[in-house]
Amino acid sequence: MKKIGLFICHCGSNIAGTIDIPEVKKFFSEYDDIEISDDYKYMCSEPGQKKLRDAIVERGLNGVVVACCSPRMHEITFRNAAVSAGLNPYKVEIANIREQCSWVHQKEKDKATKKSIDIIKTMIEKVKRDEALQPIEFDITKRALVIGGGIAGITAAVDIANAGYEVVLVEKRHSIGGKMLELSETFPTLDCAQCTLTPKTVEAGRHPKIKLMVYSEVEEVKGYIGNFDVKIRRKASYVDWNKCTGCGLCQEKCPSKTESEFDHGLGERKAIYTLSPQAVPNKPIIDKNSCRFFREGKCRVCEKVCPVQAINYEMKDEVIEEKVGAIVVATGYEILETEKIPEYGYGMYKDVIDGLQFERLNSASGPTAGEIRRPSDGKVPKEVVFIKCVGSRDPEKGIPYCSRICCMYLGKHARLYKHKVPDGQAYLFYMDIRSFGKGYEEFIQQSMEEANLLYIRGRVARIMQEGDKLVVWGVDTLSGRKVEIKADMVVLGTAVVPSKGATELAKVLRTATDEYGFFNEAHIKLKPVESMTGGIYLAGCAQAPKDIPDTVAQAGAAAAKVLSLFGQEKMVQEPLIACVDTDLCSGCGVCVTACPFDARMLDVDEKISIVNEALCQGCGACVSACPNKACQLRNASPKTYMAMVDKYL
Amino acid sequence: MKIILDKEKLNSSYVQAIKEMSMQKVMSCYQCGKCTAGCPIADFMDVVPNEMMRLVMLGEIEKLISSKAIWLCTSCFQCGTRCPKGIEVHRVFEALRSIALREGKNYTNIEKLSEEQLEAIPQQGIIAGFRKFESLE
Ligand SMILES: Cc1cc2nc3c(=O)[nH]c(=O)nc-3n(C[C@H](O)[C@H](O)[C@H](O)COP(=O)(O)OP(=O)(O)OC[C@H]3O[C@@H](n4cnc5c(N)ncnc54)[C@H](O)[C@@H]3O)c2cc1C
Ligand code: SF4
Ligand code: SF4
Ligand code: SF4
Ligand code: SF4
Repeated sequence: MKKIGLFICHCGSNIAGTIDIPEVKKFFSEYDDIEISDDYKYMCSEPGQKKLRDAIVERGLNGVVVACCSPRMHEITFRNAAVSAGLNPYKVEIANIREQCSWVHQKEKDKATKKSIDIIKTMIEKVKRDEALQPIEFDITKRALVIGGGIAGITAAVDIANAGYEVVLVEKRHSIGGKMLELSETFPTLDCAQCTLTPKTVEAGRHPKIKLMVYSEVEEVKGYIGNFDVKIRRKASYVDWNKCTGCGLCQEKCPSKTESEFDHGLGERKAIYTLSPQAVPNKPIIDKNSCRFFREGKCRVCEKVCPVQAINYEMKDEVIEEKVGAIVVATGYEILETEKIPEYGYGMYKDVIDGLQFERLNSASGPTAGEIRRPSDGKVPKEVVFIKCVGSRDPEKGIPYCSRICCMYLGKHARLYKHKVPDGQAYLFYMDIRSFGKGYEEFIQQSMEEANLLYIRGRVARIMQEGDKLVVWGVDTLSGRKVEIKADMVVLGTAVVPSKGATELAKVLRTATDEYGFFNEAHIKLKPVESMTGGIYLAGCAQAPKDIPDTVAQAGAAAAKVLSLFGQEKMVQEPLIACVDTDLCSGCGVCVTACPFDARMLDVDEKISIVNEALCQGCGACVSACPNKACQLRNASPKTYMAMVDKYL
Repeated sequence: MKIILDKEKLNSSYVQAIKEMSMQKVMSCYQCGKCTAGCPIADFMDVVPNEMMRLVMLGEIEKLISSKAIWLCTSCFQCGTRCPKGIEVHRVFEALRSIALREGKNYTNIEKLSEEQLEAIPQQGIIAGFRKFESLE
């Protein structure tokens, strides 16, 4: 015999103001299978929940219908209440008489009351057929993968490793540190970037729990939260790093030179090279495209000079498999190809440079050993124009969003320039000055005063070379005047865009990116470090442009999410997922292609389809695809739904 | 007319003089406009206080010393009291007036004012006028 309890909530006047609750209560007090029909002002309140718990115990209820708001609000509340009174939570259903009834029928009270009765009737049919289900539990692999070894990835990896869990840190380049490795001094404190970064890179490099995989990329990810199988390609470096002592002899002797990517084209590097003197790990790779031996078949100088025989021209890529339970994506950013804004002549005029190039000019380890000298003739520029929002906030030619860091770093650049060239003049063209962080506004104002920077409100329309000067045409909208400056050098604050390959990586991870290619968070306000896919978390500029303080904070938050997953004994998953009626399944495999979560596969021996319980999200795609009606969702079978519809009609 | 900006212009002897005489950090003005918003005379000025600050920053001094605004300013100190950056804007006005006077540019001649005009001008304005008057002698 069914003993179902019905509890009708007034929701203050939200429901009671429209629906005649005494009438509904009375209707169901005589209704088949209903043991108790009760009501309360706020069912979700503690006294309301107590009513439900007491009735379960005292009346021995084996099913509950709560007629109230949407199940999105309080299904979990009432299911938990039922559990504490000893009833299986999946025997509790919500009849939504607020969003779907009282709110939408405020002007037709009689009809609303009738409709609420119908809604409750259908849910009673469902509860009658509901099975007592158990949550699905599975083990968690308590190891993490961090993709990207910038300050975001390093921070997340160290935080997770310090909690005692192993971390695989995968970095595309052959050293970690990311863009911060290229910076000279950082706002708002103007401390040297290397001095703040190296303790972190060294810690990550030495940490017994961190497996550093540089010059590597993630190629394949299978599985689900708690249990991912990952394939990582370690690219051939042609140097056996186990033997290499990092002495640097090969770099010194190598006869092939090429443009240095690290110095953004302002300096040169050898064909065999390390990223920077402070690089971690400080081991070289051979770049096949510039190596004389790989191009012309002769040279092998590095092999001859290497004292430990570490050079190996035969080396091949390696694919390494790892099992992890959580993934942090920290692939960072790139700056927009400034050639896209042709009126500024980037790429055409040597003395029009971008922000990262300025960082290299200002770096002690950079191409000019930290002296501000312009690329064309090495002269110290006496008048320098800095242009903000280059490509940012520019829906026509660039991207519509604000890149968030350029206001600050150009202010920093202008100030650093004045430190090194005190008799120079800096001009900054801006639309707004966005200095929102802690100490940022003060930094900008101090720069204006101390360094006598001239901020000019307006965009620059074009730059033309005239002799050895760059003629800059801009406007000062504050005075309403067009301005012209004959500059010696121009620095562009170019838009921040996602790192190359981010969208491809998102596909491998089966998660989403936004329209620009930044990884999408699950909720912009409430789940900013969770990706759209369970077990995958986001940190740093991979999610959106941000400065170092925000990057580090977000990386710490992502690590905390990983740790709260690893802190659980087992993964628990809702059992309301698909199941297969093995008598009906013909093994046609339609469901396998229909499933968007890769949760279905064919059991080749039994010739039937099976459900991966950890991956299935209960979306029902397979149910509608199955030609044999063999796929069903638990507690939502077609039979149940037909019975519910029958009651309604 | 377009402004051609360069180091020399931004650091001209005029600009230096204004900075020294006013003792103000003119470059720290962020053009919020609050000085103008509070100035009781701004409505009548050809160059309003924040615009005046902007032109000093841009080294456009000529236009200022030949402006009417510097003589309309009553030295009421509203602008300086209101400025969130603590710039005593009135002192910049005063510096401009001093420069104008040194250049022999004087537009206030109290003796030429009629009875009615003297009646209409607020006393503070007349006192300010005397101050300016004095610098003539
Ligand atoms: C000119 C300039 C000056 C700046 N100055 C400052 C400053 O003074 N102060 C400040 O707070 N911020 C500054 N910033 C911002 C700062 O650079 C970023 O906040 C910070 O670097 C973000 O770190 P990240 O780890 O998210 O990204 P990144 O530094 O970009 O690191 C990402 C890492 O991931 C790697 N990677 C990318 N794709 C993959 C892949 N598929 N697989 C494996 N690895 C991958 C990259 O090689 C890189 O090492 C500046 C930025 C610029 C452009
Ligand atoms: S083989 Fe020659 S060119 Fe190639 S990396 Fe070695 S030294 Fe350089
Ligand atoms: S941070 Fe500043 S310079 Fe950069 S896009 Fe935003 S407003 Fe423009
Ligand atoms: S001192 Fe002059 S500029 Fe300043 S508020 Fe008074 S009248 Fe206006
Ligand atoms: S109030 Fe001060 S900061 Fe604002 S515009 Fe006037 S002088 Fe400049």
